[in-house]
Amino acid sequence: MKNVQIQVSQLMKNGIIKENPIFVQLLALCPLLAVTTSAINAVVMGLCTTVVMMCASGAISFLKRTISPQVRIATFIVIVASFVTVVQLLMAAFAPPDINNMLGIFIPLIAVNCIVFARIEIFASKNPVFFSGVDALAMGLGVTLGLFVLGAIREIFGAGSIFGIELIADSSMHMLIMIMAPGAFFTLGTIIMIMKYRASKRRANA
Amino acid sequence: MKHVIAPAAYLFVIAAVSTTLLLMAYAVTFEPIQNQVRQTQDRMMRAVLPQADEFQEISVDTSGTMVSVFEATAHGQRVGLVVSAAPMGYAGPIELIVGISSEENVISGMRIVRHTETPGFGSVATNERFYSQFDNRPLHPITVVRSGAGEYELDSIAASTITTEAIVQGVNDAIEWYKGGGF
Repeated sequence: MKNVQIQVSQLMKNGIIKENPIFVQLLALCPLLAVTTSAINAVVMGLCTTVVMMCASGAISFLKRTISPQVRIATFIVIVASFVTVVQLLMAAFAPPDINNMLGIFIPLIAVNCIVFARIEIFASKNPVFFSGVDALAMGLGVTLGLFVLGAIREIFGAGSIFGIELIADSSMHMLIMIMAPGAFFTLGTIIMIMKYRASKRRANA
Repeated sequence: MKHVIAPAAYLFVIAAVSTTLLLMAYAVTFEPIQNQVRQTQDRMMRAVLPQADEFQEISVDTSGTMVSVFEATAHGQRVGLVVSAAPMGYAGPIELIVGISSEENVISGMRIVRHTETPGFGSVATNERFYSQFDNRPLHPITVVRSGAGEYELDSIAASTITTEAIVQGVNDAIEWYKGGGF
């Protein structure tokens, strides 16, 4: 039991920090730029991705011994796309309309999100169901964290609000470019720069 | 041959199971999705024509940028119409609705339903400061001017003339159609 606990905490730390899919692995940058225009959109998108990842990783880990090698990729795609569609239908039916309007076109993109396939190929197809689920959860939370940080920064600087709550009422102080594509690149680039700088400092001191 | 059939059969099974699960999810979510769509539509239309309590789509000959027309009733009596239009804006079609009160013969209001205009520029049209300019307007075609709008004129949104003109085009089409009669 202790062994399981250690493995779980290692997987969690790995997914959220050490191998963070967005800041470290630099995956799924295309939808990322578009959905991080506000904190709430970013968080919801991250959670949807997490749900899909957990379901897909779980299912494929469960089926791993039966998968025919020749149709491995096709099988992955069918399973991932099906879960994405289920999530999309559930969102359309039960999510508040504002969120739906913003995320409507991006949820299907989860189906081709590299992060989902990477974890399936690297981990879920070779590991037990439980740990595959934990790995997917960890990576999904890493994605959500990354998206949230980007979304929050862009929303604060670009619209003067956070989660819709107004912080800076003076609209002339809003840097609109932050909400547009260049702003996403600025933010992501700056964050990665800071992380690399700190990592190199740590290595120099070690 | 056998090494082709086995994987193909496997993929078939996976696809069949997935499709079944998808159909189940679709069946479960069908009603809620229909309700959501209808509710959003209703809420928007009630915003432009508050005195109505029911909206029913009617089939008419649409002109210009119009998409559809809804009859607005209160206790079974017609109180007005809501015209939905989709004029071409700066960055794509702007879906909007215009409320026309048949009792007072005015434009009761306008709301943007969906748009892809530039944030901070054309998107300003979704602010109350802009759309409230369409509350209780006379049924007369509107002209867009840069500033100092007169009676049948409207100040264009700063640096967003194309967006403003598109919206006004949609409203004008609705006015022209309404005044043309026959519904």
